[in-house]
Parts: sequence; structure tokens; C-alpha cells
Amino acid sequence: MEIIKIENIHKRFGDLEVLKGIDFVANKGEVITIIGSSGSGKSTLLRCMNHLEKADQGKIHCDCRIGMVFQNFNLFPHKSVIENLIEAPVIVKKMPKIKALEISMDLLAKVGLTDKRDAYPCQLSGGQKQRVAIARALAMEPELMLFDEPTSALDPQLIGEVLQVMKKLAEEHMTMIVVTHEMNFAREVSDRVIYMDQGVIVAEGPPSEILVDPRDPGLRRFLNLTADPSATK
Amino acid sequence: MDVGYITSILGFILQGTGITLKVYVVTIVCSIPLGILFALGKLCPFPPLQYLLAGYTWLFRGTPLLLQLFFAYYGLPVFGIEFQPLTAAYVTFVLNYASYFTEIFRGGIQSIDEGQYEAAKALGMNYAQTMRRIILPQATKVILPPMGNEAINLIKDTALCAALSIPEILRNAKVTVARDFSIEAYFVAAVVYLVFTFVIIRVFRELEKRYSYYS
Repeated sequence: MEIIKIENIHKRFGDLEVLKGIDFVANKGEVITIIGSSGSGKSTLLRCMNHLEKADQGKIHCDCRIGMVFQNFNLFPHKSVIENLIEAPVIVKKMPKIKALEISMDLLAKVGLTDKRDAYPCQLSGGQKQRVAIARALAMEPELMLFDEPTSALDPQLIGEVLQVMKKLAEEHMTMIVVTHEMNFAREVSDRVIYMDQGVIVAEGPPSEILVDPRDPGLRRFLNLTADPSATK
Repeated sequence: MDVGYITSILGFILQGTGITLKVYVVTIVCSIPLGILFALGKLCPFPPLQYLLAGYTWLFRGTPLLLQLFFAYYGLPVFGIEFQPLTAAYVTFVLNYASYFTEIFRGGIQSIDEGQYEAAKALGMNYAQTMRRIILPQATKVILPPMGNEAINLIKDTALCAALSIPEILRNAKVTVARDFSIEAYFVAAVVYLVFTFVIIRVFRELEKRYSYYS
């Protein structure tokens, strides 16, 4: 079942065309990773999906709730962890506070941060912040989760705890689209890998095909450059 | 200094604090919401509104407050608008201080990271919810120090009302000096202003402390 369908998306920033006609479908329960070098348009594509960027041309079909996790967390610094989580359910969904607290405490348990419920974001490590951000997005009960380089701002030793939470989500069949440089995550967790270069999708397929035996020479070069045996498992 | 004399003039000068405080409170209460509104207007992507507000802040920040007071009281009757002196002071002070607050709030709002808007939008919050719940509370922390400055300036600026013979602290002190040929009344007035500024400084220190729970 299609959860989001994108048809011929174009996006330009001034003279620079960042997306040059992207077609893309994600099915329910699928985990898709989007890889590619900086400037390939992968983040812009993700941001078009939930209308943080307005596509200049093309169509996006999606009537599901979308959650998003950012590279820089974007937690609300003036609110405690639990307040960050209940904010949108209470204010946007008009959910009773008691119910929102209940859901949020379950989510904090899920990301392993029950004891941080009353902490403020400035008191958390990067990995903890990102786990709170994931829980905050999940509190709105999204049907599709977008991750925009969720581990790129983290110290190497903190990447694992975030990937672990994402892996758990994938195992629960959350539909996920992940822009990432974590090739191990792409290989182990995703059902489909999309390789983008200069605003177009160059290659697309199961990780075994795209990451292990790539045909496109550009992709091969990209994978050689990012290959890092010490990368987090 | 003659303590007996000072006690005798103190009552009259302190009578002026009533008016001083009235002008102060009316200005603060009206110009802060107005400043927030104008700041949001200035950030609104609608050029005519931006030009209008740019003209407004230029006019009111670009001319002396005393001149504006004179204009409101002596100038507007030419156009058929007549104010009591105190009303003229209210209108002038509110519009003048709102122009400064507009710029302070605009800067405060603009200092908040773009990511905060994106996070709020991604969570489904609309513009009003984002402003009220996410952006303005954070901007408040940023603007407290400059607002403290303005709050202190305002208590001293109220003395300009003396120019319209409004019986506030300075006006009453001046009347006393003229009557008794003795400048002690000015010292008394200075002490009264210092007490007010002391309280204002304390209030803002407390506010800043209250907002220091996060960084």
C-alpha cells in the first residue's frame, strides 16, 4: 500500500536546481534510506515531503501524518523533555493532558529516557537529545517518519544509541525514510536504498544490490569514499 | 540640609508620583502588546505593511520625545484633534515606546533559530500556536536586558510631562523650587526617581533569574 507518492518534483534555489524531476513511492512499513553526497538534493527531497520546502513543480500525494527528526534535533529549549513531548498532542490534537502524558511516558521508556522526563534539553547529550526528538515526533502518532541525517551532528560514540532506537522502530514496521551517511544502517535495516546525485535518483533497489554490487560508476565511487571499516555497527 | 523643610515639601512632590506612575503603567501596558503586534507585522511578508511600520518606527525613534509631546498637545489641535495634557502624554508615550519595543521584539523574534519554526511546523502547529507557544516565550528571554533598559528610560522620560505642566514629580519639584527659591526639591525628586529605578532593576533581575532555567 502506497503511503506517499511523489511525481516529477522540481525544486530550485535561485539559479541552482536542487531537484530535477524526482519520482518516488514509499509503501507502508517500508524502510527507505536515501544516500548521496552533500548537495545531491536528498535533504531537500525529504523536506519537500512534509512541505518544509515548497516544490516548484510536481505533485506529492500523501494523506498520512508525517513525523520528522532533524539533524540538529530542534528540541524546544524552554520546555522540559516531557513538555516537548506533550506539546503537539495537547496543542495541535487537543488531546487531554493526562492521555498525552501517558503516551509520552511510554515513548520515553521506549527511547530509554524515562529518568530524563523533567530535564531540559541543555542538560542532555546529543544522543539523548535526538532520542527525545524521535519520541516527540512519535507522540503525534505519525504513519510515516522522516529522518534528516539524524546522526550527523553527533559524536561518534553517541551515534549507536540513536541508530538502535531507529532500528527498533523499523522492527515495529514503522514506515521510515532516512537520509543518512550511515552505510551500515542502510545495509542492515533498510528495505530499499535510493542513491541521489545532482538532483536526480541515479540508482534504487535493495541494499544487497545498491550497496554490495553497484553498477553505476558514480555510486561505486561514492561508496568507496564513504567506506569506513570503523563505522558504527 | 534642613530636615524640617524637606519633610514639609515631601508630601507635595510625592503627590506627583501618582501621575508619574499612571503614565508609566499606561505606557508599559499598552506599548508592549502594540510592540509585539508591530514586530509581527514587520516580519510579515507583506511589503506595504512593512513600509508603513518602517515609517512609523523611523518617525517615532527619529524625533525627540519632547517634540512629539509638543506636537500632540499644541500641534494636533490645528488638525482639529484636541487632547487634555495627560491624554496627549499617554498617546505620545505609548506610540513612542511601542516604536522602540517593535524593534526590540523584532530582533528578539529574529534571533530564534529557524529550526524551531521547522520543528513546530513538522509537528503540525500553525503560525499562531508556533508564535505563542514556541517563539515568543524564547524571544522574551532574549529581550529582557534591552527591555530593562527601556523600563528605566521610561521612568525618567515621564519627567518630560512637566513640559505640558502635568503635575508629576519633576513638575511639582520645579514649582516648589520656584516658590521657595531653594533647590532642595530637586534633590528630593532625584531620590524618588532613584528609588523607582532601583525597584525596576530589581524586577528585571528577578525576571532574568526566572528565565535562566534553560540556556
